[in-house]
Amino acid sequence: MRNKISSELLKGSLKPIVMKLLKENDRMYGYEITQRVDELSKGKIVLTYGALYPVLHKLETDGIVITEQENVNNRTRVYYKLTPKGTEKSIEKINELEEFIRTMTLILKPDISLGICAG
Amino acid sequence: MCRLNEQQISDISARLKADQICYSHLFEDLLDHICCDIEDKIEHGIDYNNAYKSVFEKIGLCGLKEIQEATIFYVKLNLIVMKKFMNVMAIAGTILLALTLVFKTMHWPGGSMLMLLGFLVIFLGFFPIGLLNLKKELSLDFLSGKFFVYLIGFITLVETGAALMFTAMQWPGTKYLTIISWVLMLFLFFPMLFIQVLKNDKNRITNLGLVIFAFIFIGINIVSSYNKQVSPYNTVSYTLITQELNYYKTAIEDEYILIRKENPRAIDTLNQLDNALESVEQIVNKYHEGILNGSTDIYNVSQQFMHKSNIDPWNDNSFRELKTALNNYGVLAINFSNENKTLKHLIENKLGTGPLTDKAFGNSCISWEMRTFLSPGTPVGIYTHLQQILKDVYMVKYEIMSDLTKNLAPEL
Repeated sequence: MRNKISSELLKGSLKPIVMKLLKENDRMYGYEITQRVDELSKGKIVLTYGALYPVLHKLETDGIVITEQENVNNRTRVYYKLTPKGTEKSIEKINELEEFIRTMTLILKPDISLGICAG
Repeated sequence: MCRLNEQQISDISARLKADQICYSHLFEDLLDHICCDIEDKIEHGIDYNNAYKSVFEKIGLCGLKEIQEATIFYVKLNLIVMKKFMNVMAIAGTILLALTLVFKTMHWPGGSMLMLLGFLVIFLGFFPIGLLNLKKELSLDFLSGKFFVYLIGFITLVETGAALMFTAMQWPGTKYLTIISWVLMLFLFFPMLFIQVLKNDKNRITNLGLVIFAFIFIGINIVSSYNKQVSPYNTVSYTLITQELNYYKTAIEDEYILIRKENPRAIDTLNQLDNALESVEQIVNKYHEGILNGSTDIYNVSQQFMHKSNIDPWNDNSFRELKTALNNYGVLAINFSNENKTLKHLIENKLGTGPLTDKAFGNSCISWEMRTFLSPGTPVGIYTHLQQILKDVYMVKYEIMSDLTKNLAPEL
């Protein structure tokens, strides 16, 4: 059985995760993002509708992403794409998340952290 | 790869419509996502109906609506926080200005500080947040013409607020701030608003009419207030006060004729009062002359006087000369009141001893009244106020003489 990461822990990390995926994939649609996150996290992170779309729409309002609409299989598909400002911001956000993970490791696994630092 | 047919997509679409999903392109997002999820399940061997059921069960009964609400809340979170902050600022500003009104009316110390705080909260707190809020809500670009109009409007508003605050606080520079706010309003804000309205097709005629009406209305007000400012003194009140003063002067002459005829000895006692009145009148005339010639520092003194919000009116040295003359006059006048309580009350009231007094006549008359009497930016208020003091001095004398002649009546 896969241990899923709780939404509480995920909350602040969702934006950088979505931004990182968009940075690597030019443009993506909602379902594609959830599938990619599921695949990369080996099923440990499940993006629900209620978690993904508020983040995507917020990024759009803030000018981080733009949308493109296309007709696919008799329905409209909305693709999300980083703007130049969003690309810059994504680097910043990803670095911030990496820093956060490093800090968490320092707290949770001091021995390993010391090893990493010494190495 | 399995694809849903038009009917199936239409069914899912109907479900979303029933849940009133309408925010931005969330409908398209969800429709495609749900279709993809169902298609994935069908791929894994589940039939359409069960796949449909399973996906919607995962979303939950109110799930779609909740997703829409969560999206709107998250997108507008900053706006919601900003609006709450704006409300707090508006309430705080209103309370402070209302308290100012109470403090000023009651002549309690600290009124000026409250007014200053109230203005700062409204003009540097409420309005800037309002502008940012407007920008966010209308999704305006910082470089867009529309935002520029709002920005100019905001600057004009803050400038006008500063002019108002300076006026209320009796600070120097009011005149220049007022002129700047007029220039900003008439030559920058209105022309830009006019251009924006012309550019916009929606309700152009009505909006143009409103802008022109507002321009004319504000223009007329500015011209009339300018005229008021350049007049040498507040014509209406000064003229009325002078008319009243002349009335008392004539009435006193009539009373003199009567007293001379009936009780010449009383004239001697009245002479002392006359001398005291004369010295008050001389000082008032000197101040008046100085104000008109610009050769006296009385205006500057009064301005400094106004700026001290926690001033102790009894011990302040401004107008000392006039206060002394008024006190001499008041002490003599009160001797004439005898047992007549109404007359005593009138003398105390008009010559400014008041209920909190140390019985020094003239102090409160100058101190308290001056605060409300001074007009900003010009020596108009002091000029008129001095005339008012002189009129009150004559009125007191008239009332004393009138009381004397009433007492003489039984002897006739």
